[in-house]
Amino acid sequence: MTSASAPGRMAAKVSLRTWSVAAGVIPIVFLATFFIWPMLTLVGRGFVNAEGFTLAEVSSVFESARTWRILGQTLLQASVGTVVAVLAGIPGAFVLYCRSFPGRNLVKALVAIPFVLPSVVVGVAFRALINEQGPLGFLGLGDSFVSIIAALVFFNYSVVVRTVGVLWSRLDPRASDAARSLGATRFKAFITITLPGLAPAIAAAAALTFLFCASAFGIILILAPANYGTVETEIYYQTTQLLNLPAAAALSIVQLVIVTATLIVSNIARSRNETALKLRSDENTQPLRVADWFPTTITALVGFGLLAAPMANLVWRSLHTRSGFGLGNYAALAVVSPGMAASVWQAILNSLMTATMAMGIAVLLGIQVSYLLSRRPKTKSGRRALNLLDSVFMLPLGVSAVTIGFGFLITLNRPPLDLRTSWVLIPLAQAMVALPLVVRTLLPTWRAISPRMREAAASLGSSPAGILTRIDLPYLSRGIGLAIGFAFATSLGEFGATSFLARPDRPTLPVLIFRLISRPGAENFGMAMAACVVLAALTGVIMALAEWIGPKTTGWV
Amino acid sequence: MRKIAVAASLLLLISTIGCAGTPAASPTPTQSAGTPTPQLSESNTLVVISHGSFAISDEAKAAFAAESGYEVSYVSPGSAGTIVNQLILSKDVPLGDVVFGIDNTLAGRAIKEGVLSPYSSAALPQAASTLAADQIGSLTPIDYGDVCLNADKAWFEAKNLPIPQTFDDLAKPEYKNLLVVTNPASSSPGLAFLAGTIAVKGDPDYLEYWSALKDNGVKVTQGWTEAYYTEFSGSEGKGSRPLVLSYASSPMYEAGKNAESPTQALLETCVRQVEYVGIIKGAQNEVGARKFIDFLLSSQVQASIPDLMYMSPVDDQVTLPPDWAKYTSMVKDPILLDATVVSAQRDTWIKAWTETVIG
Amino acid sequence: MRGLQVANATIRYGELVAVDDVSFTVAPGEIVALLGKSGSGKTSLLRAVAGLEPLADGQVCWDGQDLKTTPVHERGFVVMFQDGQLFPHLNVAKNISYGLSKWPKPQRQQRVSELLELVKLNGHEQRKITELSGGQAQRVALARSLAPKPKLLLLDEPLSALDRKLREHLVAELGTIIRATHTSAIYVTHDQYEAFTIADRIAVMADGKLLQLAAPLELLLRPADRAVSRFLGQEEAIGSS
Repeated sequence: MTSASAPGRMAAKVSLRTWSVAAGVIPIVFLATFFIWPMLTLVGRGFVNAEGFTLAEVSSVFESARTWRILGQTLLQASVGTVVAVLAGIPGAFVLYCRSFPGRNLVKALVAIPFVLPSVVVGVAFRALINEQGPLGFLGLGDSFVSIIAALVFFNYSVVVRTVGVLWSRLDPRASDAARSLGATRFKAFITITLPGLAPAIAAAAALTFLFCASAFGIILILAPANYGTVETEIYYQTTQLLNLPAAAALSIVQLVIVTATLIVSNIARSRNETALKLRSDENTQPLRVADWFPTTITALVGFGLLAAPMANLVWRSLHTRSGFGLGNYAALAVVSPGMAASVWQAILNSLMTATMAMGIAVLLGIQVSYLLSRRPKTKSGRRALNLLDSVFMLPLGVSAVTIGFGFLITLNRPPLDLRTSWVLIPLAQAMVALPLVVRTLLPTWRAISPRMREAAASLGSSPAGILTRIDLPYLSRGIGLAIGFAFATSLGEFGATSFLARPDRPTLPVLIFRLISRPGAENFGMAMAACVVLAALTGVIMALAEWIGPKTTGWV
Repeated sequence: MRKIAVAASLLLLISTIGCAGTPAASPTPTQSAGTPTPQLSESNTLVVISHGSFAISDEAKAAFAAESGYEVSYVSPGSAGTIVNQLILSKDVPLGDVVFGIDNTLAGRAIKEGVLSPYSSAALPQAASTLAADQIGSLTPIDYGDVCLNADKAWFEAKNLPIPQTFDDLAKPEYKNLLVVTNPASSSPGLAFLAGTIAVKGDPDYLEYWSALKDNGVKVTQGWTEAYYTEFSGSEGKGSRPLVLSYASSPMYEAGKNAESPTQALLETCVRQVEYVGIIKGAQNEVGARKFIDFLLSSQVQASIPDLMYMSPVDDQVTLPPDWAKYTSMVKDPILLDATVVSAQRDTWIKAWTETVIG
Repeated sequence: MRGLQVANATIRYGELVAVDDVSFTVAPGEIVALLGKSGSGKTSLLRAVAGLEPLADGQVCWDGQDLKTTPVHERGFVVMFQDGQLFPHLNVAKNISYGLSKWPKPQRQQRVSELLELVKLNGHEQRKITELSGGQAQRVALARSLAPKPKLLLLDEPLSALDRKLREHLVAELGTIIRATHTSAIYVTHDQYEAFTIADRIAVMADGKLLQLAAPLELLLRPADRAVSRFLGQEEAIGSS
């Protein structure tokens, strides 16, 4: 470094600081206002009774056997769901990301669809498949734990495939070649060499899947037997039906603990295995070969048996009308059916509008949050603070929409923040749900920008704004396509938070589907199925576009 | 330097959490609670809270907005049960002006918790007076429907088995494993049906009845959708059970145009569910809320209720769609519920029922 | 016929012919260098011998036996890559003993220290891979490759990631060590100096074809055609760096 560049470096550092502060403050204020404050206020109510502050009522929740049974069921369901999703997803990651074959991008987009389908309809489709009369009825899975796990894997398969696949495509395959030549079978080389290399991605994918599985709601209501309950369904029941705030508080605390513990375990697993991995800058794909028969068979089995069958069942049912097979249900989508306030096309328009806003908010905030999280503070306390922040922004994935929805009622109730009955809350709530995924998607991109590059630019005379536009943004554009896709698709399919804020006269598509399927008659049911197929198609197109725009090097890590 | 950024962020976070921990300063209410106010509040906006099935036609809505001059917004923050609890939780700062959709299983709770302001509308038809939730008009009945078991006629024909008629029939061995109902803890028709069995069998004998149903293989789902569309054999799902808990009007939607319905309601199992509208206590626009209630009782809205909300209007003078009249008028003698008893006993019933049936 | 025989080997990637009808042999204890520019097909050929790349046509035989149906791990041919491909999550000793999983434990430990001595890294058993220098890493990689006493050692540009000085020093040492263990080897490189230092015979490759296979001196004195002489001359003129 020459002395002339010193002021430049100073400028770079100062700008970094301001940018960091700005990047941190806005999203934190957003999250604090629309998530943490409502949540903690509601939890706080559980500790207050007529006499004032008391621990008695909340702690009594933990003395009940029911609470522990439900916690046990939640953890079991999430653990088994995660293990199966990871086991099923790893071969899929290999086939879809390390091997090339005709139609691969199409398959990638199709695999992403289940993630955003409304759980009510998926639940009905699943149940129709496995009922005594259904095509898979002979398996005898009705009302079984197996069917819940199958549905959870259906929803989360793409999380594992994408996250693991992206890393895998950049692992140097020669490490496992070396192992093979040293006498290891394909299986042994995979277990001893490839798997440890994939560990960071597996840890990240498992954490996300675990949180999604632990907080599954609609699917549990539909598929689980009546004596089955999870923390999420119990919060719903205790809060919306009984207004039992101590129970809501206790269970919300349980959810916070689950999220935090999951992330801690995942971070430990990640950092333990992050040993100087040699990654290639390019993607490594080879044509699919006969030797890949094992992962290919597993992927085909999961793909056709678990993913395609319920979706095909949806399509088949959407074509089934009172007067036989045909497109009648699709024709009906343009009509406002009685009591629905909007046609399906209008609902799609509503959904697209709110999802666009939600996506805008989530991506803008996600850029800032992921920027902040990509920093590598030199001090231990700095790193701890960032880890904490990382967890805080993941909370919306694991905390019940009911807690937040009811929290809104007692917090955002005074001007200028009386938003309880305002439509603005819908995109805001959806953005919050999408934000963790956007952050996960953008983080690897930010991490790829070396701070040296910014310092070099500054020493060459670039202003902070110049660095932003000439270094950061071009880099970021590589990850932004996928982030936009995920944010958009997630908002499009969001039901939990939206159902607390829905407007009867302007329903979103999932809300309308829910209403249709809550009424008797072949017409309503058929339209719900057709609308669901449209939602799936829309999601598929968005994800395909995102794959196409975005680089192939971004995953949730 | 980055430390500062992180520290600042954290400070903000902590202060936010800190704020949340201490109860927010209570606002000065516009009207002191409890004492009746001679002056009714009014503003140029009106917020209508309802469950998701609330629907009136766009023309009617536009007419009401034009006539009253209010900017009306409609919000649907969940099911009726959820809404009642939301009203209780946000008592200090009311969520809206008028609430639609509280039914007779929930009415008692809403009244007891004091979240409603009474209003006796002059527009309330004479016929509706028997449906009132209390003496002082805390809630105004708007529509009603009958929760009844439905049977798949073809199934019983094929098996050469007579369709069951009464509650007692359901516990007979020939009807083993045929019935699917919904969980009263999570489903409003489920709760109405449970309350109906209690009204007929008495408390605590109903538990014996339900335990007989359990022994006879009754299946319980969490919600109506799963019961009707995946378990019931008489509808789209082509499930395996020919008896389902649904509504008196459901067979009409299975009939299609001018055809005879493949399903029928079991008329002796019908429990009447009444839906009410009420003014939220502390509403910013009580005048508007009253106007809205009158509007819901107008013959224009009342006549559209069967088509839009799948319920019967309380005004017996309006002309009903012919099909609707045919199916719903079959219910001659529905089981009526006492709103006060239901809400007082609800939690106890559900608990006892859960222990007996779910285990 | 003992040792390795490659006959009419052809490798295709879609339309591209990476290796075109190549035949050669490696006698027991012999070191053959495959010399060529990048893209000449030498690495593909090496991978095919290892069983990592399928042959479109031709044969790879050991002691006269076709290896077509013998999977990679049963061939007893060990590959050593350019950057070593040491397993980052295992320490030095575990890397070296990776191919010894079928050996009894005491022998395994003895073999590891034996090889560390051979590559002059005595006492480095517990070192982490990330703590090794580039030269040390390649020595460990060599030790790991030799540990299971392979029938054939396949070296794919084993030194090209190192700097010139270290490379010149190591290539001689590598040759000494390989010869000391009487291991047959194929040494792929683009560097003439390395090829001429280590190999008994050198195969010059270009565009997937084998141009000439001969002893180093013969190659210099009697290049088969102009392409070979141009290749050798060009390399010298540029000065391989």
